[in-house]
Amino acid sequence: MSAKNLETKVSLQNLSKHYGTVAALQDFSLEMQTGEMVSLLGPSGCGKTTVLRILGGLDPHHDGQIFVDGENITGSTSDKRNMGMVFQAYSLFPNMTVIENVEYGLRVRKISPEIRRKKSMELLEMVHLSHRPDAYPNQLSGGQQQRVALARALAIAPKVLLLDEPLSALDAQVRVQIREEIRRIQLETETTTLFVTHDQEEAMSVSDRVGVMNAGQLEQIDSPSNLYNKPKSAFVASFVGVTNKISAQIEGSGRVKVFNQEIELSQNSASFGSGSAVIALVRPENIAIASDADPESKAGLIITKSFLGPMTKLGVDLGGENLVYVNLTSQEAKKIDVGSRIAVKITSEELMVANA
Amino acid sequence: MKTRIFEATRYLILAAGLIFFVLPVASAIEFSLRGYGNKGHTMANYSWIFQQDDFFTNITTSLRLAAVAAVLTLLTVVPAVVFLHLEGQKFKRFFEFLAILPLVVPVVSLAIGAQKAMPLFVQNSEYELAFFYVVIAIPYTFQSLNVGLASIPLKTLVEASRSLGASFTRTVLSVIIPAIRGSINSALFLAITLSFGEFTLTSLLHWETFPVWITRVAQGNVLGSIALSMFSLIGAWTLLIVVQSAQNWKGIRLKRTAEEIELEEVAL
Ligand SMILES: Nc1ncnc2c1ncn2[C@@H]1O[C@H](COP(=O)(O)OP(=O)(O)O)[C@@H](O)[C@H]1O
Ligand SMILES: [Mg+2]
Repeated sequence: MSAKNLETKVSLQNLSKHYGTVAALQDFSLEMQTGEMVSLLGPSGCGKTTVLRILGGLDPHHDGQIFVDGENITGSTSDKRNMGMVFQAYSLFPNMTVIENVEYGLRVRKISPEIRRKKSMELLEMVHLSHRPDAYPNQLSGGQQQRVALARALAIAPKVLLLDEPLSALDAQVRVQIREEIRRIQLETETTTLFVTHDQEEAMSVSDRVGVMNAGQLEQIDSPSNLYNKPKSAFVASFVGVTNKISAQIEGSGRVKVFNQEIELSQNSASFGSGSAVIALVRPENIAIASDADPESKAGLIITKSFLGPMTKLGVDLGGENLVYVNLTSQEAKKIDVGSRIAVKITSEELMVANA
Repeated sequence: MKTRIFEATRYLILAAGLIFFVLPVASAIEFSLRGYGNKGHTMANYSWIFQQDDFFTNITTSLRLAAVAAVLTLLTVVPAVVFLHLEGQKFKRFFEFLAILPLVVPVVSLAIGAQKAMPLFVQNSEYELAFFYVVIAIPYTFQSLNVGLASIPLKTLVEASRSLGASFTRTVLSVIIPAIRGSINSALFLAITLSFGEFTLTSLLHWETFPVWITRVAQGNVLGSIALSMFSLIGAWTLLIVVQSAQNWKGIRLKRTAEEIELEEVAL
């Protein structure tokens, strides 16, 4: 994000939402800067869609306040909010062609036919569909339909673009391709965007900031690299990226014993009494091969080996409940085969732990 | 050789079906063309139809009532079912049950009870029949619209349209109605055919429409009444074909001209 954009576009303040006794959202607050792309990430049912719908004006019954450009829009209906929405799937108007779908918001705004056609064609070009303006939605693939939905949402020059798992109905390859395009277009148009997904890779790869949600609350919001490297809670650490969960024990004075090692406890870990059994959360790249002779190393049997291009992932049985995954460069892993024994050691300087 | 037997069976069933369907119609047509005393074939019975004084009066009455019933269905049943899908999911079961009632309630009680409930301005006018026809057709029209609305992602379409700035009315008129146009056409077709053919209630209330009139004149002229039945049957088929092609024509119509879109815009 460039410095000039550092002004608040959206401010969600203390949003709460209950369905009967179920709290879908609890005291949720979020600020978005102009031109920023923020993702909300979290397991199914954690309240991501609820946030997006409240911001879009589709869910009028909630507590808390919503400000856009400094204006309190809490009471206004969705047709007055000027926010483009892209839904999971099947949201194109079936009786309208591609271009008519894109033009719809401009027609509503009584823009002249020439101007709206021109604008819509530009947007179709942007999403690489300018060759099919007269197709009907049912003549398009799922990916193409979502591109049209994106163009339609952008046509109204939305104050905020709201995307609710727009890629989840698409197959993996198309998903990656379109998410890159969404990011490119978002940067190009400098549209403030809220992107909801349960796919951590998706969120991490396209966003300026990612907010991790859990049970209706925002656990942490930060840049992708900070979320990965400095998770503020065990939930975030285990939800973002691949994490080994290894049985460990709290030693006195803020240290944790894992295998034969004693490592500093992360400041972000919840506090546990000395001697408590806990789960240490260790990234695969923070485990390295060690010498057998090293008293701190732990030996085990290699059960699986997956080649991932430059990296290779080994699954090692270290006597715990789960296999422990270790990432090595494929060069290092070359001579190590399934069935052989290796010794490993954790290289992190501090560890995050969770309840056992 | 199984497939051969299978093929043969298929054609046999098809042939049996055709015979079952075509034979009575063909025989009736043949019969209606006979002259009195079996003297060759003639169009006399058909020309007899048109010589009847009341023929045109009654057929226009029936067509008029059918048209009014179709318009009433469009203005009441269509919005009601759309609203039920949008806002009344909780009561859907209940209304589905209600919509079946006209099939179950005897027409006699409908005739006597419902007449009291008629709007004042139509009581004692033949147009009260159109209201009854709408009610009698509800089990069919409701179902047709119900299926049509269930087959589109209604909630998402409404939310997409609203978020793009459209009012609720505009959303219904330019998104929902066009998306279920096929079901609306079938519902209207059903309303029209049911209205056009309704006999029991109409005659109970002592009105004369085309079907009531047919039954009356049939008592005086057997051959003529067969000719009349054939005439109505062919009329119904023609109507069916017209409605069907109107639906296909709609496919072409979807590519509206710029002027039409502008007109629609002014209307909204
Ligand atoms: N219409 C509804 N009625 C009842 N509960 C709902 C409704 N919509 C959502 N919920 C509940 O609210 C919670 C949050 O839902 P949602 O925001 O859709 O989650 P997410 O998008 O993260 O999967 C869930 O527990 C869900 O079951
Ligand atoms: Mg969701």
